[in-house]
Amino acid sequence: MEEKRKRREKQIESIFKLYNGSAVVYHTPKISSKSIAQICSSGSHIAKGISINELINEARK
Amino acid sequence: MKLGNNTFLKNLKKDNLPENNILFWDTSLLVAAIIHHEQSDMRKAAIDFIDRLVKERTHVAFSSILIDEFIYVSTINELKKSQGTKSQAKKALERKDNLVIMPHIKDIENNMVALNNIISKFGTRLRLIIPNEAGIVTKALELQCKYRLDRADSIHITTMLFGSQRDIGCFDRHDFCKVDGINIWCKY
Repeated sequence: MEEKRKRREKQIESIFKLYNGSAVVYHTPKISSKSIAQICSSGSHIAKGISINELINEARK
Repeated sequence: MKLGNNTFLKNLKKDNLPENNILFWDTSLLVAAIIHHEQSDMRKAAIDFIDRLVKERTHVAFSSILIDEFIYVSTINELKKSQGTKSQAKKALERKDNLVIMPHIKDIENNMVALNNIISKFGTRLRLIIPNEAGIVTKALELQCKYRLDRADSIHITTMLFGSQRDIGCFDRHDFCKVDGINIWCKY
């Protein structure tokens, strides 16, 4: 299983090498156990009243 | 409109992963998840789809133009709330109308935080591709002329094709289906 995963990772890396270094890992702060639905709900349409500091703190946990 | 010879795939299952386990993203997927109305079926489908990608540990890649396009769509969407129509919102943005734009800054920021939080869920399984290869730019311009695609869509597609990949997560059927041979995930 582990070997299969490593082989796949290698294949993926070889695809990104085609981009000659312009495919970069996008580093963002790790967020906690928030689900995708919770994350999307922090978008503006229902985010009224939620403090931006709260969201940023959550993102930086 | 002539439709391209494309495959539309609605579900991502264990036995039905994108080719090479890599899925490229179009901005429309994130716009649907974050910006669309809370009760919208499209929004629910987008959230469910991204959730699956996280759970299936799928690798995700997108052109850096996605960030630019997301900021633009998010800004227009917010301005529309006070301006009434999309066209009025675009005009206010073109005028750089401080009085119209400033009250919406916080909401636009909320959308960006949500975008970053989604991206962070993928960790090192996400690649941001800077579309600076001459081949990408040339092909993008060709696609713009041939299929009348807009700038961002043509770059999304050519960024993917440059890596010999065909799978893209996208809610924009109208424009993306014009190009042949693409696997469009999450048809809506």
